[in-house]
Amino acid sequence: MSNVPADIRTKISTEAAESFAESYYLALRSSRATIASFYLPKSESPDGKIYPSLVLNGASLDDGMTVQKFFIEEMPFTHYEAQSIDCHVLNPNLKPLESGRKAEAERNMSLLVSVSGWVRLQELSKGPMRGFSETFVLVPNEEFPKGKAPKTDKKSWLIQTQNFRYVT
Amino acid sequence: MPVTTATRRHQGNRGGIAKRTRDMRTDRDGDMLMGTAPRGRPQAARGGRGALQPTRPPPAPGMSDSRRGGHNSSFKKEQLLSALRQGSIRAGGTERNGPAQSGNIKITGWTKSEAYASSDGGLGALISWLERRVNISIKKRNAPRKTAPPRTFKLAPNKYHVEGDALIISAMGSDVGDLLHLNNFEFSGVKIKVEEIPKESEQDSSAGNQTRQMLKDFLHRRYDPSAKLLNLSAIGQDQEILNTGMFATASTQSKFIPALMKVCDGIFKSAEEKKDTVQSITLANNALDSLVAVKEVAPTFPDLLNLDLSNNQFPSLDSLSGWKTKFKHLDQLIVSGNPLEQNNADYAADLAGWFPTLRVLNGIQIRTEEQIAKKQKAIIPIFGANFKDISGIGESFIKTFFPAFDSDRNGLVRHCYDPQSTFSLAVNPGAPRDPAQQGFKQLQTWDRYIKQSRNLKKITHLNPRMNRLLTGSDDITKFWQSLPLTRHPNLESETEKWLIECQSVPSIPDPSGNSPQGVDGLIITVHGEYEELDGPAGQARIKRSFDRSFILGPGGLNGIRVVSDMLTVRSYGGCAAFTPTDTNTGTNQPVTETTMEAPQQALPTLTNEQTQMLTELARQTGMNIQYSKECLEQSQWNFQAALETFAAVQPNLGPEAFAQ
Repeated sequence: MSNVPADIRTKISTEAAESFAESYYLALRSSRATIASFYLPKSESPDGKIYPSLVLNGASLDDGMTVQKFFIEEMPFTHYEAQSIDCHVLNPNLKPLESGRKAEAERNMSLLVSVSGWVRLQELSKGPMRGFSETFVLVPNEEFPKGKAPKTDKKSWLIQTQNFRYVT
Repeated sequence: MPVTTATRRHQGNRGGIAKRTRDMRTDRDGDMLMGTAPRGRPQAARGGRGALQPTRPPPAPGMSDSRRGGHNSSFKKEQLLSALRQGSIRAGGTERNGPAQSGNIKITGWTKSEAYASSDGGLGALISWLERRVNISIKKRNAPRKTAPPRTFKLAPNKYHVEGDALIISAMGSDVGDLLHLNNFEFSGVKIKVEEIPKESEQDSSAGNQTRQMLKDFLHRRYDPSAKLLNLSAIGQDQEILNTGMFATASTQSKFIPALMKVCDGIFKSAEEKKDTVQSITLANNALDSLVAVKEVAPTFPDLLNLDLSNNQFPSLDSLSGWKTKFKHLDQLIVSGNPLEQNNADYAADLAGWFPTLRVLNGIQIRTEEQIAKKQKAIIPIFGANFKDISGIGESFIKTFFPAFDSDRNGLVRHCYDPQSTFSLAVNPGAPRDPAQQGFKQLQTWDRYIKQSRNLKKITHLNPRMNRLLTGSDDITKFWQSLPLTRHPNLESETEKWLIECQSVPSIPDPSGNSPQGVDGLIITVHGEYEELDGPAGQARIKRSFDRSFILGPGGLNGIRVVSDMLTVRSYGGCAAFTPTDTNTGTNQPVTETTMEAPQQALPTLTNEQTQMLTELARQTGMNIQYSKECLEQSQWNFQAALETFAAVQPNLGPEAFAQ
């Protein structure tokens, strides 16, 4: 089992969920050209399963770039407001670790994130409003700069699984 | 107080109608500033004025849109003309008399107050004093009703300006009377004088009529019925306007478009008529550097399709921001020949964002009609549930779970949860309500939930975040006992109240430890509703909506264990959103409709350990795989117990148990 103390794990996982939700929904509103960077690159597992697995209102989308294209080309203005966020550590020992680095061990987990909120379409104040529910599985981005490496625009957590639904 | 009157700064031969009187602000010394730039944009950003770039040829009057403009409209120029000549015109200004509707209030005497010594000449103090006094009046009037005041009076910066030592306020409705009531009140040590400025028509009715006639003639000259174009370009060069002296002073210039728009409002009987008659307007070549003088165009012609602002002096996109989100149907826009092209590199992208229906900008197509139509639909198409199950595991789980959650939570935990399972509850009381129940807001109380809610938006400290995450069957059992009794809708007869989706998810922890990389599992997302009950057979108290995500992995008594269970309870939102809007599932989006038919037998994947046990039992006993498996299942996958079970039942086993 993981040697990371429960309080550290809770702190890292819940804060990751919050900052992920904040930046992801902001990107859907105002920096749609960065949407693809929130997603795990497309890959196929040995038994033929393809990830990321993305379902928006019942439609399966191929990968992050498909989501990005969809938002840029077809979606009107959107403003998402996450009213409720919750997060569980799904797998606390995601990968065998190469180094014994503490920071790496602390992030070596997958997260289950659920969000409940509303989205305003077309216009911030008067556009139609829908309630939504969204569930993500996030995994650490292996390309995220480690230690003292210079910061990049790489996201620290990536979407492996996504399920979005309008609920009102 | 030194006051500088706004003057035209770049008349040239283009003739400006730009005028700044109404936009004056006082600076810290009490001096009037003449900036037009809204929201603190540095004045320096407006460099390069006067250097008019002759870019594309002026487009007017060819802006008529054959695509949208061609449809039949019964309007004839003659109708406009006859309407203009007849007395039936509701010419603007004359009908809106009476202080009950609106009025301009002039306040004098305050410059002698003590507050005048302050940095803003006492203006700020006066404004807040006026607001306070009017609000007192509103409150008093409302007092007998014993309810909260219906509104708060606030003086928006565009509702007042200073002329000399007078503060001019434009007010509406009862505020006019409330303000006039303050005449001779004492403000900061001096008596102030509050009076209503007589309406123009009362002031000089013959001059007003003359002006209106002049405006009507102008409209007559400038309207092109074949193009449905109102040409308001280069007004300052219009010889007849110049002859009237209407453009002689900055003050009359700034009133030109507002007056013209009032006349327009009088001509058209309905918004529909207006929309059919004027589809395009050009304001080109007016040396405009802000929207101040022309802003009335937007409320007067909200359905405009084509707008030409070319060859003006708009310094930046900010100077046009007043029209952001106006003109909801704008199809073509021309802004070429304005300094903003140089000052805002991304102006095209920004303008495209401001006007979602904009198809052509500066003569270049930026969107197709199809794209606009799609955007207008404004929603992600809603497909049926996307349920990618594996061997019916997800379906079988759901059909077990929710009836058991209503009737036997303890048993459910025992069967599906283990010491590593996690559960938490998040409450979202502010979630959007059922749109079908507008106006009917069921009183929602959350005291049974809120103390355990782990909503990270509200629970910000680490300790409660840890305490409110339940791990293991025991804690989960205890927690569920504290939750209200529930009744979920029937999964088979009330399918419309459910939306259940299923996807596979990798790297689920393997409790057997055989797969350190983790095993494949399922993520099931459920959206639905339940009723809270008073007692086991009790009355339904309230309806809640919920969202619930389960991660299922192999393990547990039934071969399935809940790895993670996240429940969000929110205000009742109905189930209308679950109905697909896009039934065309045969497109590029492969969708598996959920078919909640008779429950299939769950065929859980066996762990490696179980497979080994199975093989070994079959080898030792000679039973076939099916019987060996049943034997192991009865013995809770305890190998020794399974051998004992076999020994006990062996005499009764028929040959079918050994048939391979």
